[in-house]
Amino acid sequence: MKTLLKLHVNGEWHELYTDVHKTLLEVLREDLGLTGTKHGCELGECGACAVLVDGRPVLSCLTLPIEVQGRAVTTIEGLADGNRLTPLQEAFADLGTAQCGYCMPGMLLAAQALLTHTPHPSRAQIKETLAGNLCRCTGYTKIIAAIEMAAQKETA
Amino acid sequence: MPEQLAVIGKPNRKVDVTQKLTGQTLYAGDLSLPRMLHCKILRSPHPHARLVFVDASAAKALPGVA
Repeated sequence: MKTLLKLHVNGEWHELYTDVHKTLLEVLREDLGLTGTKHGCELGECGACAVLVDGRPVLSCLTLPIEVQGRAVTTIEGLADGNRLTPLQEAFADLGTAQCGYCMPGMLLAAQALLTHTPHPSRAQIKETLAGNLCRCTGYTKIIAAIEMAAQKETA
Repeated sequence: MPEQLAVIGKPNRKVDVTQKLTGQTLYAGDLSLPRMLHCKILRSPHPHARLVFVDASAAKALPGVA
């Protein structure tokens, strides 16, 4: 059974006709071709599927598209402006933060939401924010350092 | 000597950072090709069993199964 959806993603309106049982994660990846948001655990434990809804991190693997109709959805593809990376992305790039890169979309969105609402987070606040985003490669050190660097640069 | 070096000791971004940080990197699960098949693994429910025969006739009879 299919349904009509009107979604606002990365600043653009989309009208889709898709299966009712699809999660927001599947609709973003398969119907909108935005594969930047990743399948991880599909249980809500790893954060790879994180997107922002009205600026707040949401696990898209546990969200139905109908829940976010009329709200602003931001995926990793919506952070940078063409080739111009955000200060947060620049900090991640400068520090060599990404290894395989699979966790990065979720990490960046969670971190961006933190910096938007808390421009000068403590290390403890950063760690708490990232508690829902697992990384198997890096050990998190550079991720935390990059967020701190981006926060400091914003105030410089 | 150090000031004559262009790469060693200087900060350098890896070639793939921009793609990875903007969600453009294509991992295996992101690939989509025309007429591509999808597979799902059926694991044995029996530990240490010996596989004798596979009867896939019911699965193959379903529409869309290659």
